[in-house]
Amino acid sequence: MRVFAVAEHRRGELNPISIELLNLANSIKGDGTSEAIVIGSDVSAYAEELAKYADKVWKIEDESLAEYNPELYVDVLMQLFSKEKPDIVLVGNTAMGSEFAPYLASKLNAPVVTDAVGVDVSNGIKVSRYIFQGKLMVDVLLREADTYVITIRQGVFKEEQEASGGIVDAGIKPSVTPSRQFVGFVEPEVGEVDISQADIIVSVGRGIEDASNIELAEELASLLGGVVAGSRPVIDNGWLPKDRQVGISGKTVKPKLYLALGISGAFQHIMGMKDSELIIAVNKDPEAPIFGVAHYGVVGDIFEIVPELVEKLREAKG
Amino acid sequence: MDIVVCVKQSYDVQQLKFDPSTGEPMLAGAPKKMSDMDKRALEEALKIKEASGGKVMAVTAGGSDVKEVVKEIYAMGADEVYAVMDDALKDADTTAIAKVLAAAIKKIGSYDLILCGAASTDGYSWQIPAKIAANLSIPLLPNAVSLKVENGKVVTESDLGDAVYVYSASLPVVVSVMLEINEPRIPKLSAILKASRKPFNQLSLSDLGVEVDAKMEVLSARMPKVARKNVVFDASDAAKVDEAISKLVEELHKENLI
Ligand SMILES: Cc1cc2nc3c(=O)[nH]c(=O)nc-3n(C[C@H](O)[C@H](O)[C@H](O)COP(=O)(O)OP(=O)(O)OC[C@H]3O[C@@H](n4cnc5c(N)ncnc54)[C@H](O)[C@@H]3O)c2cc1C
Repeated sequence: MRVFAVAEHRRGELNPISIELLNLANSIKGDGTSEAIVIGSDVSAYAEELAKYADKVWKIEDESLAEYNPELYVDVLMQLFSKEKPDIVLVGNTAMGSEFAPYLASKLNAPVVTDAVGVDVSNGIKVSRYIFQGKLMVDVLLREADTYVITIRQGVFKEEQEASGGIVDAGIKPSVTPSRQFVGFVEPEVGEVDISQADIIVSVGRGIEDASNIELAEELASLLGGVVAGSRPVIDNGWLPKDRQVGISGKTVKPKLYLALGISGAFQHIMGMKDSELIIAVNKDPEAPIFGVAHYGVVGDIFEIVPELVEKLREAKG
Repeated sequence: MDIVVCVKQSYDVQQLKFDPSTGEPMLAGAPKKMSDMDKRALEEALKIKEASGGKVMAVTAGGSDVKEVVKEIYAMGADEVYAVMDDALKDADTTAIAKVLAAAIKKIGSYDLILCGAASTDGYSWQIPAKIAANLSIPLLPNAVSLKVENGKVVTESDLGDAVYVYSASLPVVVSVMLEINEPRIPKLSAILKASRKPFNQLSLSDLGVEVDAKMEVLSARMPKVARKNVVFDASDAAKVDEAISKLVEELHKENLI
């Protein structure tokens, strides 16, 4: 099979999903090929990186492709695919990928599945994905088609397979003028903490009860060398800024330690933190679903436990 | 301005129950509600209308139970509702649903702005807005966390995960909205009562000239399993707090976290 992977980059950096797509492509291509496609204004550096994991890398370069635009992306991809027929096109299930993949699939008249966490090609094309916000895993069999488009969840296909592909300039230029203009970025406020990069996260839920109690979590976080994050109600109440929200409508985090204080463990929250290396939950309700994903749980009142823990940690530090 | 909002009647995932023996969801008779992001899309449409006039129309597609969501749409304040009802749509995939919605929008005929939720509460595929835009050959401004319409132009702040992008395009456009864009109104009781008496426009697949062919088939559905070592320390009464914390600190030491 010819499995194509559309690489993704933003503001000068290759998104790791690009390599993950190739890892998957290599594992399902059989005696076919894994081929990366990288689109932009100057993509040589990305192409070289991708070539370490692909049998072939297609470069599509033009000034107008500097910023991602779905109309231009689909236009140049369709030009490439009119000559180079893919069996499967893999796209990252990022906001960008989940936008242009359905566009592309419409043009290719291809079935499309988004947010796949498993792809099995042994007997037809079978894809596993979560629905109902993570409560349910489904296996979907795709009807026979010439080409399939699948978007892949980030962080799933991490096992690398080295390759050494050649880089080819596809010599393709956009043939349309986009109707949507990119105006600029909304720059995040300065002084912001990026919770997705933190090693240790102390996360608070509605159980923290009031903005004034956030201090307690801050204290614990600073002792552990971590940062404070929260569940959605905490953000909605304005107790923490929006960029501290963990979950499907916030950030996905994977710290070494995730300490959940007074968080019930709704799946919308769990989807954003379940891959943390060590999860410790403190909740007074022994039935709280958060205990289902926690490695260690403490059933108790955070207002008793956290001050005590702070004290113990202080002692330990001397 | 003519605004069309696409609304899905989705499963109320919070209330979904699972068969403990098979791990399968008990979908028969499971409660449904208006999809969360679609509700924001409707709220945004109503706000635009209140600020600068126009008409708010809603389109929904599904089995006969979409009637329930029609009431909810009217109660919030939409002017007209179009419902495509057909049992074939119950299990239809996103390609089919988008085709149906786009056909219904074409049938309505006049549209400047099309608003949808970026993803549904249950399926969560994030595909419908882009597919509607593709079907209508108009641009999509995705994942809006803010939206402005001025002089025939739409400007959004679009949250694409890694950053918030500012996009603009001329009408007509499709805009998909995120939860953050607004806080939807809670309809008044009187509006709810009135809503159930309002007639709506019922469309069939043959009215729209659309055929539904599935591109995929669901083989199995089950609860994902999480394997955890799951050690629980009981600190439910004050006397046990000390011991529980000592154990916890010990574990943190073992994991080299302190
Ligand atoms: C479309 C959609 C998207 C969403 N996205 C997100 C998201 O990205 N992130 C997110 O977090 N949520 C999200 N939610 C909301 C989610 O469904 C839950 O409502 C939310 O996660 C609950 O937050 P919580 O656990 O802090 O609050 P609650 O569910 O109210 O839980 C509070 C917990 O604190 C415990 N508690 C109370 N007091 C104490 C105490 N003194 N000591 C110990 N424990 C105590 C209680 O036992 C309870 O378990 C989303 C919902 C929807 C519909």
